[in-house]
Formats: sequence, C-alpha cells, structure tokens
Amino acid sequence: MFRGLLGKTLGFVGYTIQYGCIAHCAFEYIGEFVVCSGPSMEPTIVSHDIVFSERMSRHLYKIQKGDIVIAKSPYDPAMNICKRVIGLEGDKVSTRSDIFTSHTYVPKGHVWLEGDNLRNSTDSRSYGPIPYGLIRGRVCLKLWPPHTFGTLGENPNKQNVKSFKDSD
Amino acid sequence: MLTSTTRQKCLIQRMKFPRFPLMPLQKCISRGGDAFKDSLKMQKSSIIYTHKVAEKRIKIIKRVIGLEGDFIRTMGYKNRYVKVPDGHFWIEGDHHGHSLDSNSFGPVSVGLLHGRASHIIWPPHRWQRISPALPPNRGPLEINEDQE
Repeated sequence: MFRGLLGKTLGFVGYTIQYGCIAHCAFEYIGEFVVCSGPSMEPTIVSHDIVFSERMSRHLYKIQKGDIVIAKSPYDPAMNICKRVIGLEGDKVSTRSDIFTSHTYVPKGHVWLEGDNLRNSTDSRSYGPIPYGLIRGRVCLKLWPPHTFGTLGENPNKQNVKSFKDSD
Repeated sequence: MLTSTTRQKCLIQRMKFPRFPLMPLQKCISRGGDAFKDSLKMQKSSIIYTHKVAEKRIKIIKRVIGLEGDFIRTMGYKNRYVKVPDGHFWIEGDHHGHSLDSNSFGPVSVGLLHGRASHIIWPPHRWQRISPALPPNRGPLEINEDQE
C-alpha cells in the first residue's frame, strides 16, 4: 500500500519534470504566446491582443525588414517591447522628429525598430538602434480576438519606408 | 589567436560550455572566488558573458565595472566620463588594451546578458572559481564623497 503510493508519487514527479522540460524547449526554440499591451502598434496590434511569436527566425538570423518582433527593452530588461523592424544593419533610416528630419545608418549588429503608431510610440527614434541580441522572437500569427485571426498586416506607414529606400 | 594556451572553458551559470579565446581574461583567472548573485542584480566586478554588441553571432566574456547610474572614468571612449544609463552596465576585459569592450562600444544593455562565469573547468589544473574583484584603480567614481 505504502510502496504503491510512493511509486505513484515518484512517477508523477518524473512526468512533471519530463513535460516541464518539453514545454521549456518548445517555448525556448519554437515559439510562445504573448499578450500585447500598449498603443504603440495600433492599428496592426491593439491592446490585449494575443499573438504567437516564433523563435526560429531569430536563432537562424532570418529577421527581415517589415517583420514585427518582440524584443527586450534596452532600458529595462524585465520589459518586452513589440515593434516593427524598419532597418537592418547598414540601412539608412530617417529619424523623424516634429521639427526636422535627419538620416542615420544602422550600425553593425543592430536593428532599427519603430511602432506602427508613430505618434504614440517610444522606439528607436528616441533610444536609437537596438542590438540584435535583444530580439526575442518574430510575431507571425494573431490568435485573439477571433475575428482578426491570421497573419499580420503590412506596415501602414509604408510610404515612409519607400521614400528612404529611393533615397539610397 | 585560438591556440591551446589562450583557450579556456568556463562553466556558465546556465550550464553552457562555451569556449573563448581568453586574451582579456588572463589576469582574472589567477584570483580567488566569491558567491553567486542573481543575474539581474549583477554584482559589480563579476565576470559575465554577453552578446557582442556589434556582431550578432559572437559572444564575449568581460568583467562588470559599473552598474546603472554609476559614473565611470573611461579609457579611450569618446567621452572622458560616462554615466551608465538605466538598464545598462559597463563591461571591460581584464587585459586592458587588448580587449574590445565598453571602451570601444559604450555601455551594454542588461538584456544581452547570458550568464555569469563562475568557474574555470578546463584545463584541469586551473579548476577554480572565478572571483568577483575589481581591477585596481577601476570601478565607479564615488560621487557622494565629493558632495560631502
């Protein structure tokens, strides 16, 4: 009786550890579910949307221009930010502010992130390019709310991106 | 640069076993040991392991010289004195002049941290803990003393 109970407990602990390891590897290498909050990615992602972010393209260095990524905030490592990649290393980007426009080049190993809601977003325009190592994953699917299920839209501020592609 | 004498393996806290060309760490390896602290509350002078800022595939191992809010006297950076911004730290190699560290690329974000190097496990005759100790004459400037 006692041995049976002990065996069952040990078996349960073993299964818990096993499934914990599997879950950890899945979240670390395949992807994770993220609840977004904040206005910076409107209208593509609004507050309290649930998105799926995949980790493989970050591990394989396949992040491209126009992708939406989850990254760690450079000034607070406990906080995550969700922004769109506007420029990769070596690209020319414009740092818009209210008064004047200037251009900079993204340094090696860095990316330039901007929110889709340009008026209400703290992004690379305020803190500069962020290192690639801070990127956690690429957002590929929107899961919640159900009527917007599917892949994410294009950049609504596309003409800006085009204008500095032409100027290259 | 990757000869067998300059190669070391360090046991990283996350149980990864990376191999480094250890030019900048030659000095630190002959020191004693100290206890582990939580990776976010990183102790000054502990040796850590981060992504290299300018090179996304390469990782570097350096010593933490200053935490956020500290004033650092730099060596060869564009500004003589630097206040480390929030969420960043100042890292330097122990072999000054042969190390590509914060003196060339500036403060590094804490989010890039991978782990804290705690032990040397290879070669076996140098098996030991890595001590958190600031190099002499390095470290944050004492602002409070000046004000008093």
